[in-house]
Amino acid sequence: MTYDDFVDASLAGLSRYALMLAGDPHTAQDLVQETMVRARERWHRVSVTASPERYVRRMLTNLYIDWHRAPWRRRVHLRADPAEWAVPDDHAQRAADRDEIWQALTALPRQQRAAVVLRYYEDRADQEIADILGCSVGAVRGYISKALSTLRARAGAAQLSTGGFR
Amino acid sequence: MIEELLRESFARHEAQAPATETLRRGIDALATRRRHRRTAVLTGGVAATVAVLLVAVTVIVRQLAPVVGNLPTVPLPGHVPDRALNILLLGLDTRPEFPPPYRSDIVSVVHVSEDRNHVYLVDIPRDLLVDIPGHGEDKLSSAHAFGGPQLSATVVENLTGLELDGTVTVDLGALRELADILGPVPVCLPFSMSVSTDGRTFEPGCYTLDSDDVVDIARERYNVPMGAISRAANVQRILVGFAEQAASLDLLGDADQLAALLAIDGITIDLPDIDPVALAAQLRGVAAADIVGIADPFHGAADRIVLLPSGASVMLLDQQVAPQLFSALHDETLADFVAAHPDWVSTSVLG
Repeated sequence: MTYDDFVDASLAGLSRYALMLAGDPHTAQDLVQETMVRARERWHRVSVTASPERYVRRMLTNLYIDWHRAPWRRRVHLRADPAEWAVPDDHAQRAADRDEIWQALTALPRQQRAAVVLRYYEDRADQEIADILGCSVGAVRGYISKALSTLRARAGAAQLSTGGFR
Repeated sequence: MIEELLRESFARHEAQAPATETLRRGIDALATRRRHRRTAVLTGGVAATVAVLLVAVTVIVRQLAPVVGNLPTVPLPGHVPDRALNILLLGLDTRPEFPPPYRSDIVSVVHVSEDRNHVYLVDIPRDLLVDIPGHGEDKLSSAHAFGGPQLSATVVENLTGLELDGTVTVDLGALRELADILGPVPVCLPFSMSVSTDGRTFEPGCYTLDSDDVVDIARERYNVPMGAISRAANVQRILVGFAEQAASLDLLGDADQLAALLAIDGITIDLPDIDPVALAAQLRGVAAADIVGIADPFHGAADRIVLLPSGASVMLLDQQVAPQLFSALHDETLADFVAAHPDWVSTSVLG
C-alpha cells in the first residue's frame, strides 16, 4: 500500500476519530496533520506492519494522550454562557442532554476517552482497542467501566441541575 | 442507556470532523515546513554537561580516594580557585551529516559550592530570547552557532550577572559512550512521554535505561509535556543517574572500564584556571543525592512564548523567579532558593 492509497482510504475516518478524541475540530486537525506527517516520513516502516491503519491510529492516539499536554497545544475552549441559552423545549432538552454527554467526555482521562471512542464510536473489539492503546484487554475493560460510571454520574448530576424530575 | 447516549452524541458530532481536503493541504504545508526545519529537528538533541565530566571524573577519583588517602600528604596536581565555581556546560548534537555551525541544545550553569559539598545544575532554557552581542535579539541557542562557547558564555554572563570560570562543551556521542560504559542508568520520569523516532512510550516511573534509551530520551523534545524545557530537565535527570550508576560500580577494579571512561571523546574543556582532575578530587564528598538540577518549570505559561517575525517561537524569562535564581547563584544561596521553589527542582520529582 502506498502512502497516497492510505490517505485516500483512511483520512476521513482518522479525521472523525481525532474529532471524537479531541472534542473540537481545531485540535483534531492538528492531531491528524501531525500524525500523517510523521507517518509519511517513515512510511516504509508503517507500510510493512500488519495493519497500517491500526498502526497510524495508534500513533494518533499516543499523540493525543501524551503530546496534547504541551502548553502551546492547549486551547481555550470557548463556551456559550449558559445564561444566554434559550429555555429548552422537550426536543431541545433532549439535545442538551446529549451535549451533556459530550461535555462530560472532556472530564475523562485521555486513555479512558480513547477506549470509549474506540468501542462506542468505532465499534472495535477489546483486543483491537488494546492493540491501539498499547495496553492489556483487562486495562481496556477497566478504562471503559471507569469512564461509563463517571459519565453516568455526570449525566445524573446534569439532570438534577436542569430539573429533570418531572 | 449511557452507551446509547454516547453513540448518539458521537454521531451528532461527526459533521464537525475536519474536511479531508483541508487536512491534505495542512499535511502538505506541515511537511514542507518540517523539511525546512529538518536540520534543526535532527540535530535538536542532546548534550551533557560539565556535569557528565565532573560526575565521571568525580566518581573515578572518589574510588581512588581510599588508596590515595593512605598517603599522608599527596599534593594534588593542578589548581582550583578557592571559591564557588560557575562553569558553563554546553550540549551539542553534532553529526557528520550536518555541517557546523551548531546551536547548543543544552545550556546549563554548573555551580559548585565553595565548600565543595554541593553541585547544582542550573538550566538556562535554550529557546530563551536574549541579546547576542553583534547579532541582536535571538534564541540563546544561536549564540553558539554565531560565536561558539565564548559567545555563549558572554551571553549567559550578561543574562545572569555571573562571572563564569569557563566552559565545557559535550557532544551527544559522549553521552552514549558514557551510558555504554557505565551500564543501565537509573532515571525517574515524572511524566509520560514517547520517542519520536519509533513511538515507544515511557509512563511516569523509574527506569534503568540502556544507552539507546538514554540518547532517545535526551533527544526527545516533541513528545514530552513542555518541549525543550522538559528535555533539559530529562538531561539533568540522566546526568544524576550517571552519577548514581557510576557510584555503584567498581571502576577502580575494572581497568578496561576506567580506560574507556578516560578515553571518551567529544568533551571539550576550556577552564583556564581550573584543573579538572584536581576539582574532581575536591568533589569526592559529593554524592548523587547532592547534585541538584534546577530548571524553569514553566507551568504552561503560554504568555511567555513569543513568535518572532522569522516564525521561530522564543521563550521569555520568568520575571519573578529567574532574577531570584540568578541572585542565588551569585550570592551562593541556592540551597535557600531550592527550599523556596521546590517546583524548580527537576531531579527530585519522584523523591
